[in-house]
Parts: sequence; C-alpha cells; structure tokens
Amino acid sequence: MKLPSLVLVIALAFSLTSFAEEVAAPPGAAAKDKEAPGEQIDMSEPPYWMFSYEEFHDLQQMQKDLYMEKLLPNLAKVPRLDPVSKKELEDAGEWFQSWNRIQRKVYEACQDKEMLVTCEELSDIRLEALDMLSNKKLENRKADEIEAKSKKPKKSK
Amino acid sequence: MLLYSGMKTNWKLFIAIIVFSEIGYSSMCSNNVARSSTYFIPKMSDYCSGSTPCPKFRRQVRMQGSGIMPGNKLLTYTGKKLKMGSCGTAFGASGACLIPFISVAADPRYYRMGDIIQMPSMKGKVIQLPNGRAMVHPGYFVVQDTGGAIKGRNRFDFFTGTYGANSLANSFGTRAQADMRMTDVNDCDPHKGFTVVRRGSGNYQNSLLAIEDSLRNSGNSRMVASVEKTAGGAR
Repeated sequence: MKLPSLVLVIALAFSLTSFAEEVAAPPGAAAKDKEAPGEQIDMSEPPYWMFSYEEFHDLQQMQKDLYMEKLLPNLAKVPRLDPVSKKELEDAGEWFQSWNRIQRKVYEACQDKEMLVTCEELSDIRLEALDMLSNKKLENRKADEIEAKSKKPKKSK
Repeated sequence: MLLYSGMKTNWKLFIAIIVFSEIGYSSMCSNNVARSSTYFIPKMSDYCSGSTPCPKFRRQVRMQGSGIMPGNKLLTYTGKKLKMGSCGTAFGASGACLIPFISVAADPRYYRMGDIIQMPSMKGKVIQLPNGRAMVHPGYFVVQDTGGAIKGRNRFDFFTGTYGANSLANSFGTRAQADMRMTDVNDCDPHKGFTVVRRGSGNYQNSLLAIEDSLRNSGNSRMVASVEKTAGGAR
C-alpha cells in the first residue's frame, strides 16, 4: 500500500471513531432516558421540573418572589397533588421536607408523557427565575434574543 | 480495484474532506470534555482615572453585561446601579456571590445550581487572583451562574473575576499556559476533561471542603462564605 493510501486509511479510521463518540451520547439523551416510567426518580439528574430545596434556598429574594408567584397557579395543574396555598408554599420554602414532598409529587406526575406541556411550563419558571441574575454579556443577550424570537410564534397559537 | 484507482488519483481530495470533517467533529468535543469560554466583570478603576464611568469602561460594561464601580456598586448594561453589599464581584443566577476561577456558568437544563464540576487537570495549578493573592486550584468548580449562550451538557463559561480573556494575568485566558487555557470553545484538549459531582451526592461535601481549603489557604476567607452558603442549604 502506498503512503497516500495508508494515510487515507488511518485518517478514515480516526474520523469514524470520532463520529462514533459523538453519536454514542447525543446531548439531551440522558434527560429523555430518565423519563422511563417505573424507574426510581432521581431528582438530582435532569430534567429539572422544579428547583430543589437547596437551589431555592440560595436564590435572592426577587428570584424567590417571581418563582413562587408563577409556580403557585401551575401547581394546581399537577394531578394527585393536594391544593397548595400560597402560605403552604412559602412555608415549604423554609422547610426541606415540605418542599421535597411537593417536588416529588411534581416529578411523579411528570413521568406521565401527557403532562409534558405542564411540566415544561414548570421547568421554564425555574429557568426564568435563574435568568433574572444570569450573566448578560453581549453573546448571552444575543442568544436570549434569538430564543425569544423563536418562542414568539409558539405562544401566539 | 476501481475504487482503489479512484482513491489513488483523488487521494488529496479525500484527505482534504476527512481533515475538514475532522475539524467539524472536534469542534463538538466529546461529552466529558468541556466546551469552555471565560467571562469577567470589568472594574472601573482598571479603565478610568476619575470617579465617574469613562467611555472605555462603559463600552466594556455594554459588552460584559455589568461592571464594578467604586463603593461596591454594580453598573449594569441597562444603566442600573446595584448595591453589592459584601459581595466583591457580582451575584450569579444561583443567587450566590461569584468566586473568580471557581464559579462557572452552565446550562440549567443539565445542571442544578451548586453542582460541582471536577476537572482533575486543574488540581494543584497556581492561579493568580485579581485581588493579588495566589490560589492553588482544588480542581473543582461550582455551577453558580447561567447565560443565554451557554447551552449543552459540556458547555461551561468560567468566571475569571476582573481579568479579561486577553489579560496577561488571566490563568485561563488566551495568553495562559496551553494546559490551562479555557477561552476557545472549539478546543477539545484533554485538560478540559471533567466529571460531575451532583449536589447532595456522596462526594459532594468533600469536594466543597477542598474548595474551601483552597480559598482559606490562599487568604481568601471572604469568598468561603459563598461556598458555605451552597454547602449549607439549611435543611
């Protein structure tokens, strides 16, 4: 085999191994795998439908206020979760076990694929609260603008 | 045989295609290698001699999103001035005060705030901090921020305090040692290999303690508060 062909074969083999590595674990695959029903729910792994108690506890007050305000009406859409009052939710924000009980019910409900829209709305509230203090360098602002534009037609439906 | 002769005549073309496709794949990095960049908060005194924000500083604030003014105030790109209290940098999306070379912005769809990114190649590296002190890096970073362009499981934006990407003093910047550079998002060098320590998992407390030790040993006890806030969670 002449040198150019040998180089070609080596390069092809290297290229294919790189490709296999990419195909093996596409981003986002992990999140979807976790949704298989019947599995024990690990709330430390994505997808994140709600803030964990620890995450919520660290937030600045304005983030907490926004989160609570938007979370409350959305919790009413979660089946098998007893109605949660504003007072109960505020108390849960100060007490790990109460927060965890609500969070677990939400995660259990989100195992049902029919709940996907509601669960994504819940997830979006978390992202919105984080976004209040996220880094706003030019690159991030541009990405935010593009995402906002792509979401607009969806909302107008 | 026909294929072989074709390859023989067009081998330069084939190699060119493979080289270009290789560049394409490498820009994606494998899932356990960080696609990294850095961000910073400009400090007014580094850009202006007077007591009011000069055009050069304002330009940086527009680019970076915010800047530190005298009296621990933060000037945002919208012109708002925020009091930062005891936080000498800025608050990240997590609500915690950002720590140079420890805090990292990540995609909140993949990470909870407070998750730890372990990067073994960084352990033991000496980092020059913006406050003039040196820190021996623990090899751990804490997810404390997010950003609109930071998308994907292995996409991270490292906070470098007041050091810009091109600053000579920036240990993660464009002029840093090759095995510490974090500025090129398409660079998939093995030194960016990482694992995740989820908040609340078995190794979590030990990882946080290692970060606290590094900060204390480098005389940055003030920054420990931000890590302790994450460690506490006050259950």
